[in-house]
Amino acid sequence: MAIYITRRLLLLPVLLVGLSLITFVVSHKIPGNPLVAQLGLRGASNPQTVRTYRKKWGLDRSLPEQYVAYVGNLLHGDFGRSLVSQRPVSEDLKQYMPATIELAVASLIVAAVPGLLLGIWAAVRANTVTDSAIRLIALLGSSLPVFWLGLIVLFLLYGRLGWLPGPGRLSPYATPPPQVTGLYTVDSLLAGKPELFWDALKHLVLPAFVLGWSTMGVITRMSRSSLLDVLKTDYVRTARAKGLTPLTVLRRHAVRNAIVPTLTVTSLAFGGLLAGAVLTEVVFSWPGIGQYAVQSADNLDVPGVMGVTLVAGLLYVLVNLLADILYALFDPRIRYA
Amino acid sequence: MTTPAEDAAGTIALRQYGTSVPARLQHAIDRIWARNPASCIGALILLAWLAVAVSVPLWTPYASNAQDVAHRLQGPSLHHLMGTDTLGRDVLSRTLLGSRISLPVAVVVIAVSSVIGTALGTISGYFGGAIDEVMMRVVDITLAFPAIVLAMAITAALGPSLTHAMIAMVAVWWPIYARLMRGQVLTVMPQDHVLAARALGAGELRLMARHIFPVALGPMVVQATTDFGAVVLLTAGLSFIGLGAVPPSPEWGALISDGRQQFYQWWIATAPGLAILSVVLSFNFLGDAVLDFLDPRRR
Amino acid sequence: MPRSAICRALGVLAVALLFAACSSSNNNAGKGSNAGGAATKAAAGGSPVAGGNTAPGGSGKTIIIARQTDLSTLDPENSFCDTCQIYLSAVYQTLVTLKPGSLTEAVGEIARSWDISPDLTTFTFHLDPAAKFANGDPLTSADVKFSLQRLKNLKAGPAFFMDGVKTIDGVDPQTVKFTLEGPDSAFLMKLMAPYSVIVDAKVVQANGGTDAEGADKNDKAKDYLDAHSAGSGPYVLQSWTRNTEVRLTANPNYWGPPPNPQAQTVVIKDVKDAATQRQLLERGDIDVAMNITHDVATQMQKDKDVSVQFVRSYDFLYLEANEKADPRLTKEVRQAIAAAIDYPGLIQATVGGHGIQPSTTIPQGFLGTDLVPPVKTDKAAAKSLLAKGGQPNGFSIKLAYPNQVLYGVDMNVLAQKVAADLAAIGITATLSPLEIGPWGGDYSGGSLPLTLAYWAPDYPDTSEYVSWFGLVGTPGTPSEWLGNVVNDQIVALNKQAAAAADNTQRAQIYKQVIQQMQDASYDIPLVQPDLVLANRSNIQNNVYSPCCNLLLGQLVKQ
Repeated sequence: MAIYITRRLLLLPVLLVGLSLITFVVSHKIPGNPLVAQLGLRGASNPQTVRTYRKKWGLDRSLPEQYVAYVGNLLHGDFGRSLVSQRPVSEDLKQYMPATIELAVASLIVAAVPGLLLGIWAAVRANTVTDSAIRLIALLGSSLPVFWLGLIVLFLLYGRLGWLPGPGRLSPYATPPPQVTGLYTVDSLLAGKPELFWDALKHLVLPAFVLGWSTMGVITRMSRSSLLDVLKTDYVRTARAKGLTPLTVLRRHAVRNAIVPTLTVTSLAFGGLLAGAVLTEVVFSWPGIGQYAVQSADNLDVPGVMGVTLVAGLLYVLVNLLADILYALFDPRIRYA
Repeated sequence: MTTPAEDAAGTIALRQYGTSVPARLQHAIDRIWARNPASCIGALILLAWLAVAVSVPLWTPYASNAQDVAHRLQGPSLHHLMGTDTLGRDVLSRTLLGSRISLPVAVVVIAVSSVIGTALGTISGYFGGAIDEVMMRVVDITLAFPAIVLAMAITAALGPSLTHAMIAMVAVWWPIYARLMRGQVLTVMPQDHVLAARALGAGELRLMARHIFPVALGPMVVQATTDFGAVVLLTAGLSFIGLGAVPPSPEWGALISDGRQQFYQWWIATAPGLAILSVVLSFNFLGDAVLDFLDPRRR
Repeated sequence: MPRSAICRALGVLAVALLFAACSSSNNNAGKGSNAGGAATKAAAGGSPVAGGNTAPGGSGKTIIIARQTDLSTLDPENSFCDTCQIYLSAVYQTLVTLKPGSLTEAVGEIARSWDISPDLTTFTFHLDPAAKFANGDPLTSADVKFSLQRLKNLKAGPAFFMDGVKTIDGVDPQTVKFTLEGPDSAFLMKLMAPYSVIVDAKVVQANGGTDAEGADKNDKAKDYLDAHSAGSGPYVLQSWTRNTEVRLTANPNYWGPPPNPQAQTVVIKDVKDAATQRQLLERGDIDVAMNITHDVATQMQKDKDVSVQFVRSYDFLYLEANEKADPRLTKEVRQAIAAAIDYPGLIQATVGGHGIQPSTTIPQGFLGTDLVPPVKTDKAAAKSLLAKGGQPNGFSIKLAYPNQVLYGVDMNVLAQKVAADLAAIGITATLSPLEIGPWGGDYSGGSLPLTLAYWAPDYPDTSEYVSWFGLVGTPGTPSEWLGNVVNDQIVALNKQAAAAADNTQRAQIYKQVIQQMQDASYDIPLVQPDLVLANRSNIQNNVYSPCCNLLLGQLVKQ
């Protein structure tokens, strides 16, 4: 087991180098002039200003030199300086990351809890109307374009009915709570401001619902099918034969074993969440790294784009590793393979 | 597999229907409908869209780019069933014409990625060793990026256009097929029938064609069917943030983006959204049905 | 726990949440304005902070503005953006500024009076001895000299304002003398720009700032200036949370000139989309919305609590045809393109009719522009011009443009309209949207044969436009990438105008320049969108300032 984990961890630097190489090559193929985005047309046509700017950002060295410098900095935790905000990309990422984490966690809860419960319900009532209805709901979630769902939901629940607040993390007149974790819900509670907590929570509802529903499908399906598998096994049949009530059987044997593949699917769904988060953040003006990625791409902020891609890739790799470990942990058959 | 009781029922049914080809077809359809009505609906919807995609330029009353500024931003009416957009173009016509973009794009992307992925996956599984390690690491790295982020980076680098978006999507999708194929190769190769065939002198190509591919086809088809929907969604997503289809192309994601600018004119975004939903849902239904068909245990 | 119990629990939770949402949205029926901050409100009533409640007493001392902010830094000599103008003009002051309601007259801000040498090369300013910074430091010529030298030597975006300045002398603590390399009748205008503000030299230097040569490498004051202001304006920076808000409080030591700051706190909130801004404004959650689009604004006019106005702006969008990049674009062809555009339809499609067609690429309303009528749409004339220009059967060409919403105009919509108009005379334009960075690079690199573009005034004077669009041979302007095109007549006229001190004279000279530019048709103006001013009815003085966008110091909330 330890060897398994170590082997996987050792691969991380390899992956990191691979990731950085791909992002570096891809983003340096970007034609055009990031200078104009930063200096404006007027400034960018002044050769003196341009020269100073290029020197400042190291844009006048050869590509391989730039890459080596970049990786060197990376290993020190330095992602370079954003051309837009003119401060270290790591600062930018630190600022925008918590918003995405808050959204991702909330969406994961919205996806996993109903997903698991609905999947169990569907499995127990297999092949009935309930089962079909649940499968339809799950399928609907994975078939709706997440950005369209966001727009519709915004239009109806915010634009027309006014039941929930609009895009953004907080209402305009609210001051963000003092930063501890960067998650407004947590920080507002820590600062003892329950009204701020409600405000943040209400702003979280719509995007989390939209992103969660789109991820729920996979989880529902997996928990349903794994529970169905388990229900057909010998030991469940034995438990039933012993005279245990269906509920006890479910509780003690079935669900426990069905959870394992569901857990792994949930960790893998995280990757899909990151992807969906980009579009959701754009629609809901959520200031997270998804929106930062789109902004950076728009402004040719090469360090910014590279920073986000690297972080996203790293996160995904780590989550995959976690999924593998969880699977190995819970399934004794794998442990000794 | 069918039980003796089901077998008997099937024979009786056959006798009822008769044994001619149309009769058999009818019988098959009825059986599928009984087991999985959703997949029939899905298939019907897809066939309808296919028909639309092929024929719509012939019968649509408005061309995709027929601007009529005097009647801009009007709600649904008799003249314009789904209203007009900011340049006075008919929303319904543009949505229907959009199918001529999304459907072919999905087919092309899946086809190309599966071919590339299959080839590379087979090589990887077959030769093993260093080639396999390197290939799988490349697969891991590519799969480490959330699809949309990688697609964004590539499209931003190459410039917004549908072709570039397709290239980006193929780059994102082939690893899935490669890994799938490799897994199949590794599972099937050590099996007895393959060893026997080899002992009898069968060449490598023949082994692959006759033993591995038939087995691998199943999971690949399932993967492809679900992936069609995912490609349509990703194309729309990329166009939505401006990195895919170029105006005035009526791609569904671009249409939704137009609708976002005109937030209170809800009809502009509704039609393309429903279009995407119906297509992706149908593919998903079909995918479910294919899954059931190939692996009845999973009912 | 039995499944049914779980279901029941979830059901109760869902209903509870729904109740919470509904009850707070009832408070949300924004009557009037909101007071104080969230904290005060919570202490006052304990009600969920959900809507614009009228606090007990309704003191109205906080003004909230919603805007798509594009702030990268708050350092005056380092910044160059639209929102920067609003911040800088609220927190800092310039030597002179525009007289309210005028486009050409200057009034003193820090300077009480000034002398201009007859040859327009020496400008001497006499500072108001009462001028002082928010922290109490007196404002002297040393600060003026420091700020404007730092502007020049930081070599950042706005550095070009100080091009042509030979020396800056602090003759005595109340007198500053600028000596220019050559006559410049627009120098006063340049000093009005928000980037030419005066900072507290002591404070900036104490935090790593420098104005010496090499400041572009050695200056380290930017981080300090992003978190603290060092100015003399009506407001002081309290905090800046990137992409979220800028919070300003009134300057207790504001020395003048009037009016004094009318609110205790002004907050600029980053709200990216127009639909949200509209909702917030209608609910009373914000007081001023700065990015309402024209179509939305027209729908809002019925609401009595909200005041929506359309005012003339000085931003415009234009089409540029580059003959060097595509030799088919001869003068007649360019004139054909200009005549082919359906201007009224274009203005209808892009800004719902709230905009005008300028006569040339100089904002309509600037000196000389009202003396020349704009180009008329004439498809027949366009077709014959096209034939005369050597392209009787039309041709195919790429139409590039930056993929953004600029001045309320969706460039995608504009491009599609232009393409349709060109198609009507036989020119097939394929759209090529580019991200604004690459577009800018391609544009100033001269590789785009046909492109849409945009411009906003850096300072409100025709001379800037002539030096940029007038083909006078200035390096780094269209003159260069259009093929080093120089119109000698315009060059001569421009020199005359620079030396002419009387505005009527200058207008007549510029009239001839404009006629030349229209004839050349390299740059075809398309639309000058109106600005939408949207605010709650109890807000006064939400007006457009040509130099500074919005003057926060004048906003009043009743």
